Amino acid sequence: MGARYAWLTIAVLTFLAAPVLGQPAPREGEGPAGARGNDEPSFAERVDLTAFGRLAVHSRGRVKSFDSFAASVMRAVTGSRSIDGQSDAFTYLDLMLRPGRYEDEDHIYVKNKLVRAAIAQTLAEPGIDAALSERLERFVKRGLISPSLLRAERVQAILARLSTDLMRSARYVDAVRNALAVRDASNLRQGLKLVAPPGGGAEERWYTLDELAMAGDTRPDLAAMPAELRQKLISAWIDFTNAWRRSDAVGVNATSAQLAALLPAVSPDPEVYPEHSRLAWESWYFRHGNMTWIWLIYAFSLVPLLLFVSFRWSAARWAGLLLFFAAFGFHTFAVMLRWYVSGRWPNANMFEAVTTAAWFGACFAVLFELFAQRSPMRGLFALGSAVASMTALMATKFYPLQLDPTIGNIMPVLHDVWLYIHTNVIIFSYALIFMAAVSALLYLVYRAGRSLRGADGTGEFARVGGAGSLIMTAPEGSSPLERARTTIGQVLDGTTMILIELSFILLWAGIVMGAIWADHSWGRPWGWDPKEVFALNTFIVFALLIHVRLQARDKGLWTAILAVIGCAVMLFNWIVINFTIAGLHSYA
Amino acid sequence: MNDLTRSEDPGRSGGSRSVVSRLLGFFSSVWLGIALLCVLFVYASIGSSGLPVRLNIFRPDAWMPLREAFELSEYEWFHWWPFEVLIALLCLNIVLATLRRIPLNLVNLGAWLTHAGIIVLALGSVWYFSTKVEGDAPVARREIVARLPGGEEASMIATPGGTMRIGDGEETYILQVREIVPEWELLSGDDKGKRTYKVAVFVQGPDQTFIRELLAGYPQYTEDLVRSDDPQQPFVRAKKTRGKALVDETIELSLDYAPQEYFYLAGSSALYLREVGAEEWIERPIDDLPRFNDYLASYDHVWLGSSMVPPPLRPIEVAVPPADVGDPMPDVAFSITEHLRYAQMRQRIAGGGDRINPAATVRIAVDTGAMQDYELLALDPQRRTALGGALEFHWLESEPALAALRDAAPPMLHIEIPAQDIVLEEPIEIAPGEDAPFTPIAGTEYRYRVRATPTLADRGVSLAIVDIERGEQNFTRWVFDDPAMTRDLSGDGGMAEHSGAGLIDENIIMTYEPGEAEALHLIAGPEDDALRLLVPARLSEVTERDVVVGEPMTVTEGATLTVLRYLPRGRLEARPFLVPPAQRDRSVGSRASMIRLNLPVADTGSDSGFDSGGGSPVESVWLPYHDYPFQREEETLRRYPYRPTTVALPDGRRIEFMFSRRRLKLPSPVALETFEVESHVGGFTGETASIRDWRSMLKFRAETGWTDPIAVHMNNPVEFQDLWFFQSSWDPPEAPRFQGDPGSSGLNYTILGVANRNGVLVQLLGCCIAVAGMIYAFYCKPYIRRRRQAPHAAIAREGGS
Repeated sequence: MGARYAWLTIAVLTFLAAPVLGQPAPREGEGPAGARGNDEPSFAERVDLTAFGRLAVHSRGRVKSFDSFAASVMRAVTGSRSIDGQSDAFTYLDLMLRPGRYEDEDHIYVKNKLVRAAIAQTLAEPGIDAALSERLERFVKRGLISPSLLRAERVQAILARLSTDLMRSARYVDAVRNALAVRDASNLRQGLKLVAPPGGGAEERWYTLDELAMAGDTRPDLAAMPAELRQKLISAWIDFTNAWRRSDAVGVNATSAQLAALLPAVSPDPEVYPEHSRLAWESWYFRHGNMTWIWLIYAFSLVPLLLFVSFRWSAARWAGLLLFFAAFGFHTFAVMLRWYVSGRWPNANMFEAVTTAAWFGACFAVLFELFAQRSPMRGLFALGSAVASMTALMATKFYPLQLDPTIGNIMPVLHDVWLYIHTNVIIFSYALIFMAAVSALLYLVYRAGRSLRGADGTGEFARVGGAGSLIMTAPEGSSPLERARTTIGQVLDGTTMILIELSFILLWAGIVMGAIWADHSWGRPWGWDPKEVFALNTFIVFALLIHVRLQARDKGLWTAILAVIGCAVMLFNWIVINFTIAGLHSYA
Repeated sequence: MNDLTRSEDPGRSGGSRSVVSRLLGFFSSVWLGIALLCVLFVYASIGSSGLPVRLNIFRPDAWMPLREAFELSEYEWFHWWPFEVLIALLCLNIVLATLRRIPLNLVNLGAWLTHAGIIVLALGSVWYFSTKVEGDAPVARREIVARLPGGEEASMIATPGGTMRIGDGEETYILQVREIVPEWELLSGDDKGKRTYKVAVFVQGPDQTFIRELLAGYPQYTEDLVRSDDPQQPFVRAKKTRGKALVDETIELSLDYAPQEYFYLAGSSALYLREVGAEEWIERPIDDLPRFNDYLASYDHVWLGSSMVPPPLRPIEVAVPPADVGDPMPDVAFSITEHLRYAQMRQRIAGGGDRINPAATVRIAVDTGAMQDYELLALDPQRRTALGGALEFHWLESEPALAALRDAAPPMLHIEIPAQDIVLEEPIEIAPGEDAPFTPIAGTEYRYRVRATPTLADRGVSLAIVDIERGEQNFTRWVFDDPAMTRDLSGDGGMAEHSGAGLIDENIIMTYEPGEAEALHLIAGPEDDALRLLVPARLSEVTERDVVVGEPMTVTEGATLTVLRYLPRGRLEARPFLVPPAQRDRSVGSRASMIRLNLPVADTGSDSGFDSGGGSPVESVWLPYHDYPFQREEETLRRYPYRPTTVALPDGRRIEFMFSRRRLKLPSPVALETFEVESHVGGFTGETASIRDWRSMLKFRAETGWTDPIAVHMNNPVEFQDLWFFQSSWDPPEAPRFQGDPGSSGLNYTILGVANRNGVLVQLLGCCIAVAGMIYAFYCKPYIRRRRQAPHAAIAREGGS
């Protein structure tokens, strides 16, 4: 009986993981730099941008590595798609230096399906050739379109019409227009501020190499630069652009190495030009997809953990914990790396809030698994946290436009000690709420199985008088869950209660700290902003849970149902309120 | 906590239960608390997110804002009587349930504390919200004060482009702010290197014009600039050329603080009025004015978009009684009969004017299905042309004038190469275009083609865009009808903009004469109803025909022109255009709202009513919303409107109205010493992302004079006489918005949030008690119980073994 369930579990999880494992490589069609029909490496493959990618660029009040900069710029153009497998750094430079090659290349991402359909419909008039109609079909599916098609008069007319609907389509049209502007070669040139202020000074402006070449004499701070260095930089830059235009990979590699050696020497002050290691790590971090692939390891840890929870196989426990700790290790590394690279605790935008929240949950699970190894609840916290982290990291991987991994500055209004505590406490509580929903869902599944077999489950709840009793070191056998006849249902219910009670306090405390901050930031502790109201609503659901648990006969069932509802309200707050019903808190 | 269910229900003890004990039982029931929490959850949800009306809840239009249908803001929804009743019942329930069901002992202390904390929080909130005052106050950095010897004085806020006049007759000075540098570095003197606020005022005096530069805090450095002959440097320091700092010592200019005495309440409305000429507005508060929906009394009062479903007619009646003191119309109560949430004043052409003013609505349609309508006024130079000058509407006094139009010259391009003595006059006949062939200039290496001949009607200039090639070199020349504006752009993209203004090749000179014959001419007159169309010969064989209203005419292959409406005696009528809901920008708030103020006709025994300034009598006027009721145009801050509406009374008095927000006096005036932007690495680049902080250095007027500057910045408010001042908004740099606008470097004012916060500490105390209670209940209580049970457990174990 037990073994059948075990295999069923494995089968289901393998099925779930299959689309990921068998994901086809994203090489569709032939891009501008693609090797067309021969085996010779293309220009894109022969160019080595490793050193160039680690150069510092100033953008939006931050100095970042070129790789990281190119990733965020290209995200605005191509969405999450890459052009023919090219790196973002290559695409940036190629769009800038050989714009002609991309004029008729489908590379501008249109996010909204309705906008895609409207554009395709306008272009698909009777009598167009088969190639174009196939292209339009592909566009409707993948969302990529070429600038030449976008600039067609009819498309411009339809975009103008769509942009008047501020409620539904205007922001998508804005995104398309923004993409067109961003990919414009001269804008890409103007954005490439690679030259640190020669005179130093953290508040002085950065320059592009074009400005260095052309406006050097009119700008006193550029004139301060040693003439020899300036001359070398200018000629390396001109050689670089010329080599690129000739598709001369050898020339590009040589001149980019020159630039990589010269540019950091312009302003060696570490206050101005970041250390090489920081830039290199930032490049590494962005070239590795912000490490969102960690979700896979979390996913793999689920199988053995679930087996352990269901069947108490200790081998499964060890395998599961090993994978979970490995995933947690990578996750910790990703969070710490981001902290190091950005120079601040990563909790300033949605991407960071989601990944850091999941990390908080994982920390809690790791601590619990380490210090309560003999508790009957062992394995469950790792399981809940693995599901939470997997969901969070998957969301960041598959929705990079909503959860933008770009590292930015903290908004001025968020510089506040209370705010740091407030946001972290809140996201910690959210992680716990999610984990509680996992054990509550397992409980519901368990109860459903029991009731199918006609058993009464009213007694399936942990006899807790405050969750403290469950984790307290106690004489053997006196903990409510350590009696011989303890069922899985009681263990699951106990796990839910531990998580709920902790998140209950944290959520309340977090809301209060937010109010303290709002009081001296906006002049009122509470503004009935949707985000605040739904944080309060989440709290109300858990207050209901605690009081229903007092009164109801079937305590375990109601606890599980309300824990799931509470999690739904929390997710509603995070997703729908944030993205649809914007309020003051729209940053995270 | 499970033990609570076991605790005795006091309501059930005793055989005969009185009504009081039943009520007590009901109100102390935990189930009632649960029910109330459920209701509270639902109430808060629908008030905050609205009701979902679609399955796809990610679409913004899936959420119906129920709250707005009731005309309640978020704040009001959560202070509406149902909410207050709900909270009161919940508090009652908590108190009774705690007193009657939870014995006060060490085990139950957590529940007691938590419940007590909630009650304290509720009490604190009652205090807090019932006395809450919240608003904002704009404070400008400086005002410019001008004084004449006779004691005459005038002032204006220092804002780019601001103007004022002082003096009269021949002794009038006109002053205009030409430039403001928010952080000007002092170049000499003891404070060399310090930064201050510099204002350059262009002064048109009776004798001469000059620029006077004023530095905040350094009146001794005030100096004048005068015109010079050097085109590179049109103004030079008067000290250099005339030997003295000031060229006109009659007028004295200074930069003074611009203290703010009021703050304006969030979410409030008020009507301001005064007699024309009076300095101060008199405020009439407006209570219960709707804010979220359109309330129309008649479709004739507004313009509706053609595709818009007309909103239902539902007039309102909001009384605006006279103010207590100083009201210029103390006996007259006004009423507001209509409210528009989002509208723009627009002029449209209507018939029935009393003089010739030909107006036509023309539709241009092309084969692809695109079409555009234009409203043209023949006698208005601003509204006479369309299609960038390609369509012109004329009023013909007499037939001979038509002949002049028929024979009008084609556009000409004059080409001159002085070195080779070549002078060419080339008519631009062919349709210009990107693919047009190049025309060689005989005897030279030059080849050229005309790419386009657009008319920039808004700037009143025409130009020909000409591609020029000379051997390898190629560039594009923008040849304007005004030769001074002609300039070259180099051929390839990248570095072209940096080649600077001027010409790449000065050996070839070009000038452009737009000519007359290139445009379509729609001609009305000389009789009222005569309407004709002249088509340039290059477009069509038929060059002249009579126009039938409503009938499309082909003007060139693939394009038709239809005169939809023709009114020989048109007049402009201004009404609010009701913007369709889908086109409303949600971030605008009340800024685009309008009210219609009904003015009761005074009982004068005649048919005279109120008079809208010059024309026919009116009984009601539209008033657009203002964020701030500035006293004068000269006090208006950039980005904020000043549009008072003037109405003439039957008794000859003229009254000005303005619709804005309620104001309260600040405990003492506040002035802005400086406003600073702190930036991230790389400096302030104009993007918000590069800003680290905004900082207002404020001065308050205390009894002993101005205080020292106090910094207010993000998350760092300042308390002054029970009010808290917050950094709320700022004046960002801005490019010129229209021709003649100097643009702005920003930082000319700050906007402060102003609020009180009675009871905040009580609220905080409640929250802390509640947290302590929760921690106790979840983590301390089990410990206590365990210790109490421990002996029993030990006995049980021993007994079992």
